[in-house]
Amino acid sequence: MILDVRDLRVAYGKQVVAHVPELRLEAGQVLGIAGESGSGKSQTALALMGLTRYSGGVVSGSIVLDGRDLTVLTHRQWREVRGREIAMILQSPRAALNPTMKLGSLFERTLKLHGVARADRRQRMEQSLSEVILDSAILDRYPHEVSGGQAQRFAIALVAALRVKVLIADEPTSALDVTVQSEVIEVLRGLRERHNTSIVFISHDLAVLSELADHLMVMRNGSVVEQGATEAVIHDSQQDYTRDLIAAVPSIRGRAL
Amino acid sequence: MTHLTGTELEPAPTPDLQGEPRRRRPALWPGWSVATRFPLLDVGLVLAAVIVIAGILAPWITPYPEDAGAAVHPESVLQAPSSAHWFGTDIVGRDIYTRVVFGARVSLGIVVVVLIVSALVGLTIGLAAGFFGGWVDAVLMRITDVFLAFPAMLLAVALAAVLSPSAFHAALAIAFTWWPWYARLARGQAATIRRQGYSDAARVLGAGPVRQLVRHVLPNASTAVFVQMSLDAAGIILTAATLSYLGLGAQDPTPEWGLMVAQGQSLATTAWWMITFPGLAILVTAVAFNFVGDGLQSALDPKRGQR
Amino acid sequence: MTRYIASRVLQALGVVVGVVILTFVIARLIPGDAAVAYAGRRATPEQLAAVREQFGLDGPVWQQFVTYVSGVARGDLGISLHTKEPVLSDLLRVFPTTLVLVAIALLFAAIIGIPLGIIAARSHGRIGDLITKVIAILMVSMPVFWLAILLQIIFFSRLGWLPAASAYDTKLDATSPLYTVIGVPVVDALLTGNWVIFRSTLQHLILPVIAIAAYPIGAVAMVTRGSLLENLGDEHVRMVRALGFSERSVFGRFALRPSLNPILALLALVFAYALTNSFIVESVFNWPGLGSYAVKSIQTLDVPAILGVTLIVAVMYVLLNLVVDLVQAVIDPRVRS
Repeated sequence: MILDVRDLRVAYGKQVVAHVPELRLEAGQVLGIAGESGSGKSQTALALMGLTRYSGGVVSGSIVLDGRDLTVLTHRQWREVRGREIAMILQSPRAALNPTMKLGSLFERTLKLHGVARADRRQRMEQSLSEVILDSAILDRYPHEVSGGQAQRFAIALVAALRVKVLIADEPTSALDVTVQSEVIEVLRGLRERHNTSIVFISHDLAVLSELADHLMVMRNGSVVEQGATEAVIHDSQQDYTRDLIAAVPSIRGRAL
Repeated sequence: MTHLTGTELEPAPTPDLQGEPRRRRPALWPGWSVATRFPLLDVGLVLAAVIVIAGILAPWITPYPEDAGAAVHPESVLQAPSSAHWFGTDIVGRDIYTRVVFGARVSLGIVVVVLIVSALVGLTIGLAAGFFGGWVDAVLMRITDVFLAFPAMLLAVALAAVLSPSAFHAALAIAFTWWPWYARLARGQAATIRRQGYSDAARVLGAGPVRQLVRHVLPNASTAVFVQMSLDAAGIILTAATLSYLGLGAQDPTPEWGLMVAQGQSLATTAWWMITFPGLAILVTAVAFNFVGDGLQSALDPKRGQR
Repeated sequence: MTRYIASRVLQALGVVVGVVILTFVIARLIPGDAAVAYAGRRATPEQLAAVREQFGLDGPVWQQFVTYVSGVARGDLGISLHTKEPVLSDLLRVFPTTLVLVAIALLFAAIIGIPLGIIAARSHGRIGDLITKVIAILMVSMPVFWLAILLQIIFFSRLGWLPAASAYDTKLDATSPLYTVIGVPVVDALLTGNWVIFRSTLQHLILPVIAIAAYPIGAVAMVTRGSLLENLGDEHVRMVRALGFSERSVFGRFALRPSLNPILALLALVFAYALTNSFIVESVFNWPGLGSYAVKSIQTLDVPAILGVTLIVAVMYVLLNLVVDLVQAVIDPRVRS
């Protein structure tokens, strides 16, 4: 068990915007979290990263990552966890990269931050870029000079180079074209196979989730509606809401149902 | 969206491409938005209201209304603040409290003149540039650039020096330097609105360009202009006071705050009250309008103000 | 990049031409006698005749314009009525001192204002934010002439802590004479290693710098705060937080740099404001610069001098905007394309 979450609540003031009674993730597995906007799935992701505090949110419950409870960590301890054991990629890949910094500079600084020796950095960067099928020339570019798909693959390479145990991917394909979406999914699949990285994949799009996820969790209005193995949830959902979500995706309906 | 069925939902449930509603977060927790919304707007509105009302009621709330003019009282020259003269008296014995209160009329009058003139000129030019685009836009905006390159106060100084100095001429001079900001603002708004196609429907219905401007573009541009106006009021008060201080604005019997500071400057080490109270009046009025402008900006533009 | 620079330079040149035309328009097309407008309402008949002669004011407007423009192009801005010297040589004599004063004040404003804005942004929504915001608004609402007079009365007249007039204590010239290098005392003293006078110039700088810097400090703090908050809400900040960077890095390295452009643009704007404010501050502190010259010109209605000052300040403003545009292009690669 790499990630074991119990009774997680994210609250802003008195309002609980996300409540997850139980979330378990084995090494190398992919958990998909589905839901519409405002369902609490992104707040759950931010809680797992310890990032809700920057927007005023308070987390309760327990998040155990590889045997260590994250909810009791101090600011400083959290920084040791982020980027080393758990990392995150975001929805708008280009907006998620600093506009005034070349991609190589961000990559280099991140590796340096996490103690990769100067001599090893170049090699580590190139290896990771090749895993996501990017040319290392991209390191000399600024975010506005690359495409959305390239930027997202770059973000995945960055995370891969850090050898994190868990990757949170928050709507990583939603801002991309359909063809680019499948590229990114392939790259994520490769990441999991090569490095045995566990992935929490968040999306409103069940079709995308069902391609990659071993388990699915469906959220709505801040609560978990249903969770279980992907096959079981897709084919034998117990909930009207999940069935409606599935029905709304033509590709799944055509293929799987 | 409670009972969704497949047939109702083609092709997909409206996905929010922004992910979780980051920008709307303050609304999730009332305490958060209260904590970030400072009472500056309220404080500013109250202060501004007090100043405006004091200016209007000046003849009834001051002990010596005749001192707002050219009165001379040799028996009460340069008296320190007392119960008879709250803010003391000036070099010809006039009550400074009376003059400071009447001064609100002069300063606010200048603000009104400058805002009306510069908004009218600026909006006309800016809306025309943004709405018609093309070469009209290019020519008008280059002209605006030239005016923007002139530091506002300096152009006002040059103009006021050529015209004869008076409060009204100072106001015209300031307006002359102020309109380009409104032109830019209005042009940006008009161009955005035009791009967004707000007035497409109107065009289809056969409305002429002038009618489109008045009916559709103008109301949409007015919010931004309103915020700008309240922020500008403070700047206008400071500029007007500075012009008067330099002798380029209101002239003596007029109870203008900047002029009063200039009159007290040489005596300031002994008769401190002569410069202290008119100066405070300028500061407090400018602070009031800046509070209002800043507060309005935060309230009307949550993206900048509250995040 | 080259094309960007070229287009910005051309644009700036265009504005300068426009500025020259506008000064001509102000001088000539104001209702009334052009000679009176140019020589001032207090000019004597002899002066009026001289001005008419000099600028060919009896000829048609277009001819006057040609005369004026070719004069400006040759650096002939006319003769100042109160110094009786060519306006250009007057300006070249007084401008450097003011430029140094304003530059020091703006540097001071950046050093105080940017950290103030960062503090406000870091304590966003808490009491620290409110306090910084109120301080900033007080600073931008302060009438500069009043502030200058207050500083002079409090720190010079009452407390006697700081000198309040001129650029340095000229009595010191007797023991360690100051040699002129560029004509700006503080720089001259520094360049010639005259530490006695350098010390004195620094003491004399303190009050004028504070008076001029007040507005820029407030403005820089507010813009820094707004710009930082805008960036802190952006995805790229969330990303580097998620990568484990410390808050210090997040602010200093990742959020601040994209926030710098609005601050730079503001500094150009504030420069013009500070330059005009320096006029008042200089005249209050009897500082031998462009401001004292301008105020003297205004008081004597010395129109050639006033227009000369207007022209030089406007041209400075255009130049500074050009520099800011270019620096912005270096800081933020998005500007270039």
